Amino acid sequence: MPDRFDREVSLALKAALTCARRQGAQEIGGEHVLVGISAVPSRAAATLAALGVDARRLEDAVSRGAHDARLLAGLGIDLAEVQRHVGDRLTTRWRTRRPRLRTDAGRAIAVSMQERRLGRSRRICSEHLLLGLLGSSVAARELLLALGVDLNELRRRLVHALADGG
Amino acid sequence: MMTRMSSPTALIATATDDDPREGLHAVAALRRLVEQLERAHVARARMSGWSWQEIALALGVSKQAVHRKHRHTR
Repeated sequence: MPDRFDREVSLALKAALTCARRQGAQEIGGEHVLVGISAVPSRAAATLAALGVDARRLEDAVSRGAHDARLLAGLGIDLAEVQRHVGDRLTTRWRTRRPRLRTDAGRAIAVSMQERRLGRSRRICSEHLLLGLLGSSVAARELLLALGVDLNELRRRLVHALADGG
Repeated sequence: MMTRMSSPTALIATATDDDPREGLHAVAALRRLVEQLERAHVARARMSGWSWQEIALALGVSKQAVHRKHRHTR
């Protein structure tokens, strides 16, 4: 059976592209895909919402660089302080260039295809994509951790949701 | 920009940590930050009327490289 995206996944990826553009990013990273998943009604978005995470909170955190802040703090760099120095210029707008998929986002999509096969589902749905992100995107994991999400609990709920209706 | 004066030590500590993963992830985050800073400052220089040649010289790269990379920056 060929890998086919459920409609909610196509819409989530489009929303990820829009988010990356809004953020002035050159690449669509796992953090943007996470915002995209959360922005489109689906069981994965509902699972995130049940853990207190919605698209607005996620995108606010992305614009603050929450997906990189802890790692940079480990190097002694205070990202909030850097942003204060540079002002709002950290989100430079691009005129024509279309953001490409960053490696972690591409890997997450590939893993979502494997998850679909393992679960013998007909299509790749939002739970598969979110599981793929949890497995492959440090930025997505860091973003969720920054918002206080228990990643094991999220994974458990997603697997449960897939077993229920996948 | 640096929260601690001993940031090189922090860098080394991260780099020599038992698990190399954290250090590698930190380098990736740092690379993203450097790219963002470069774009922000190139955009600012362009708005202030700097030529690509001047920007390239300040960044220590060729004019062609800086133009190819940043011609879409507003």
